Amino acid sequence: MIQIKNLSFDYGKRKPVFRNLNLTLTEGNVYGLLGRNGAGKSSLLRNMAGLLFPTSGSCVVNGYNAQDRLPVFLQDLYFLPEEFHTPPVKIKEFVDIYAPFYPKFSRKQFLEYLEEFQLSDNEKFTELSLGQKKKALIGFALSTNTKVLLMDEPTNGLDIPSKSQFRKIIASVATEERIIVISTHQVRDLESLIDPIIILDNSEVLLNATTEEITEKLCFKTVSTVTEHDKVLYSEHSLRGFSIVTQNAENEHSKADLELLFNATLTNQSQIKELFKLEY
Amino acid sequence: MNNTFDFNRFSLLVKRQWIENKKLFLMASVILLGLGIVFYSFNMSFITGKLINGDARMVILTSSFFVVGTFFTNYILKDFSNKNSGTNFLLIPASHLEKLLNVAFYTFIIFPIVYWLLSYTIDFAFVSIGNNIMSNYDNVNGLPLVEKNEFWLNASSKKDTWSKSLIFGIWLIVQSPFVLGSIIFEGWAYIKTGFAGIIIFFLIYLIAGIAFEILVTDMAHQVEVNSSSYLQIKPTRDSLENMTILCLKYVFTPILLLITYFKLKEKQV
Repeated sequence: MIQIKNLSFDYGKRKPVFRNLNLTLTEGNVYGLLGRNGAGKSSLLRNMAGLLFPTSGSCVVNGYNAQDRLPVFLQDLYFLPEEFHTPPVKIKEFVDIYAPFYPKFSRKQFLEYLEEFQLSDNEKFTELSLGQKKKALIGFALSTNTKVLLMDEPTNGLDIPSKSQFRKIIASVATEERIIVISTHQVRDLESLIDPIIILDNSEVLLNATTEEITEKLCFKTVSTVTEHDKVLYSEHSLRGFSIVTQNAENEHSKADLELLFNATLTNQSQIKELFKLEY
Repeated sequence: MNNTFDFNRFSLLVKRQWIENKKLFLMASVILLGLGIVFYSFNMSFITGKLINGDARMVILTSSFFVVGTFFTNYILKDFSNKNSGTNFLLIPASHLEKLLNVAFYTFIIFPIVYWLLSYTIDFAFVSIGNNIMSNYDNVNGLPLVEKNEFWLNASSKKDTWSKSLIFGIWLIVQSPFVLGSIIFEGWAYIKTGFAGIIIFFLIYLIAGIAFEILVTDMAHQVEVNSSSYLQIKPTRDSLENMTILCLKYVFTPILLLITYFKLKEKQV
């Protein structure tokens, strides 16, 4: 479990990122962390990984204070940053160096992922493209079998087939014991994968809900013309008229559109917060 | 599970450092060897076989030991010069103590061993070559024409002032700020540490000078207890100097390494 209590974080007095943030992430979920540029998605992940320290409050991961960075904590957490470092070695050397630090690492699993991504462990990182490096690291991250897996923009730089391979692999490793947190801008890439959804903005959590809760309270549909403007939380032009988000007063069934949800949340922050009444 | 020190994790860190850097380490050793050969070649007469004297060789090799050492220390901690590699380093499941000891192992143990091994090898080779050339002139009137070259190691071991432990002690004092600087400063760590080191050195020098003036005793500050004895209430210059040397030898490096440990624990990327 990841428990964030009253967490405040800033990059100096002029740049506050979070103020009294509260969040609880539980096992068995693939959390999607959304927010506009600079909302603090990466900073939140780095706080969870113990790479950044809160100015006040706490971030406890699997019962350990993240900022202590104890080996017992680190061996059960893997963080794949958006921009990463790869040493100038072959993939198999990389595995020889780093895998022994992770007790649950499976080489067999790793080789399967490499095969899926059409990579060989005999290749050197220096000879791979950015996307290929990322695929090798994604494979490594998943093979560590850590309880907590944090990924910052994992689909950035991946080609179209790799994105679907990524979704397939993540779905296969999302077990009941694991917490996966994926921060992304590319919601369309991961729409079918991430649930619950966390939206960050203005130093706080605007929404933290499962897609089931979202579709219970909100309705996503396409209409030819927008009527009853007061009931529409968000609308935008689409090929077939308007894509709109409204309150689901009549218990209609609809499929959550994460891009619309994101825009609706940012434009109607107080209404969305009231509707979902965040409780921790 | 021991979260402070585990030998297995420490050895994995040492292995990681080696695998990731072995090519560069080997290349650097070859370059060092090449520079040594060039230096000795320019300082030896291939006609008489005479090398520059042992003291001069020692001064140059020791100076280069200090300079190359600071470069090496900075390189070993290069992970902190960049956010991505810093992230990778800090997230390795090992304790901060193990990570620092890994750095110390390469900086304070492996580097000096390799450096002096290379230096002695070159010295041995050139002294042997030089003496071999000289042996051609040995038989003129039964006396050697030129005094034979002495191995640097033999020349230095005869002199107290060139005590190896003193050189190593001073070297540790010079290196440890570079370990700390590489963690504190994100970019241009080497240059920033150098500047900071020079400023701090001059400040200490100034403060020490003033402190000595104030603290050091002279006859006027001695209190007469009775007509036949004096009570000295201030330390003498000698005792203060000894205390300073003692601190530099045994306190400075451990304190800086302790600060480095806490800075590493507090490091955020």
